[in-house]
Amino acid sequence: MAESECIIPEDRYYWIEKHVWARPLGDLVEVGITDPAQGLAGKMLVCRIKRAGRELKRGASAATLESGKWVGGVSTPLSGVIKEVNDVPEKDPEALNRDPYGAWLFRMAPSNWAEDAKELVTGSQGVQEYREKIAQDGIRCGH
Amino acid sequence: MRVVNLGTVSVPRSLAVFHAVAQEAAPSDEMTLVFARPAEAFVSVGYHQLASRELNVPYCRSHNIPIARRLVGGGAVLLDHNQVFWHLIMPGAHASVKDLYQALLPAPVAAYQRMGINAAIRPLNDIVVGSRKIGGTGAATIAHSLIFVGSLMYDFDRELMAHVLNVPSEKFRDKTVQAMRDYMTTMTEQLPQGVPSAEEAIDILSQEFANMLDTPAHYEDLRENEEEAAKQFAVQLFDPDFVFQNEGWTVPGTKITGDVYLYEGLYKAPTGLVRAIWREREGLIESAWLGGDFLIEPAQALQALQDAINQASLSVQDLPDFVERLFREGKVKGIAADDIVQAFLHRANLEEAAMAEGGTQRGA
Repeated sequence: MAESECIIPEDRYYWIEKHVWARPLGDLVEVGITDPAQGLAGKMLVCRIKRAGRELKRGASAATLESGKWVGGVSTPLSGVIKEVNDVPEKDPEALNRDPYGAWLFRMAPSNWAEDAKELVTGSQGVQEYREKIAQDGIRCGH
Repeated sequence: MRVVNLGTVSVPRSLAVFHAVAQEAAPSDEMTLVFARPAEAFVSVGYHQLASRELNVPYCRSHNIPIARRLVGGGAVLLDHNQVFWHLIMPGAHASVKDLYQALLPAPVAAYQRMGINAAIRPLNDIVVGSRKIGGTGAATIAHSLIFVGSLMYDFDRELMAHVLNVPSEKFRDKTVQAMRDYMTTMTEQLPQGVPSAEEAIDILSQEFANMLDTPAHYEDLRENEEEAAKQFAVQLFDPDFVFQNEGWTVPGTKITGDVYLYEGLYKAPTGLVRAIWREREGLIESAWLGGDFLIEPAQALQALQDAINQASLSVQDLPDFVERLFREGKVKGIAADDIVQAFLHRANLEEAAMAEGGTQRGA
């Protein structure tokens, strides 16, 4: 599968190194894992997300994932307080493989989204940078 | 590549150090290969397992077997002095899980081969000798590091493993031991003329990783910040609040190796409890045991049924027609064919099976 087949929508903000995305939704910011993230991990077996009310600094672990042969955390790309948790990927972790941009993990009330967003990439430029990373690391998304 | 050989260390330290090295590594740091041999036996559960469901906690406590939770996935494992654990920490690495195993498994396999063991890779992440597993491996991401872990298995205490696991019945425990005999092997079994010392084996594996990764190996001690972090992990990973946290996730069945599972199913038939314990390999029933407290006639019918299932290489889905036909041909009475099938279709979770335990005897 060619690396170009990874799906990278332009409307998200990406922390490329951590393979997470963020999307402002009114007063909240939605967070999830990217298509390359699910491609790297393989079929997801477990998704555990920190509970609503937790305050996290950018980079802190906000969720843990387990695929057949790997475990890892999901770093939050922004600081803030978790307001909503999506139970869809918790109940059906493979939703993260099928639809990583629909199966969001949590929504945060940001502490300072304007500042945190500067550390992320978005739009066509962001997608271009992410595609370069995908090519460099030989990531396959397995669609 | 930095090699840190801890030698024989306390139980907490044997597990804590690789977590600490991974956590403390910056993305641009060089790779580190950590070796550790625990002084005593202990059990570690996978990151997302529910420890109280997976383990026979009273047994572990009464036998002073510490319980830890590791930040690596998979099932409950028994670790002891007869295994040398290796942990390769790769800061800043971003390999897919499949590629990771494919790229790195040749090193421990080559090391076993150099020792005279005919080891091979069984995808995705097992090392086997013939059909028997000589070591599993695992992967995780901790902070900026991708880690790859495994062990050099000198020997393995299958009986103790079967005791520390939370199995539903003594019969199931026997079957677990048997399955581990059938599907696991060790360096001692493979090299009856003598095994290399731990130091020799560590040198061999270090060289194989260095060759494969094309980076010279140099031995070093832990750094101060790693020592500090290791002390914290040594507490955290064994802290009962962390070990018994409610991360409830279980897969049905007891995993023996990558594609071999042991199951127990129970069904309350009108004439008594039917218990089936069976082993599946690649989804097919390989070995089944039937029992319970029901009546069946003729008396030898249950054994005949069990033998027929064992020889037929069936999936559970194939059973209804198969058992129905055997019942018809054997003129079996006392219990319906469907009651037997239902036991296979009602895989018990361990609590249910344990509650049903007691007073059940082998039928007929």
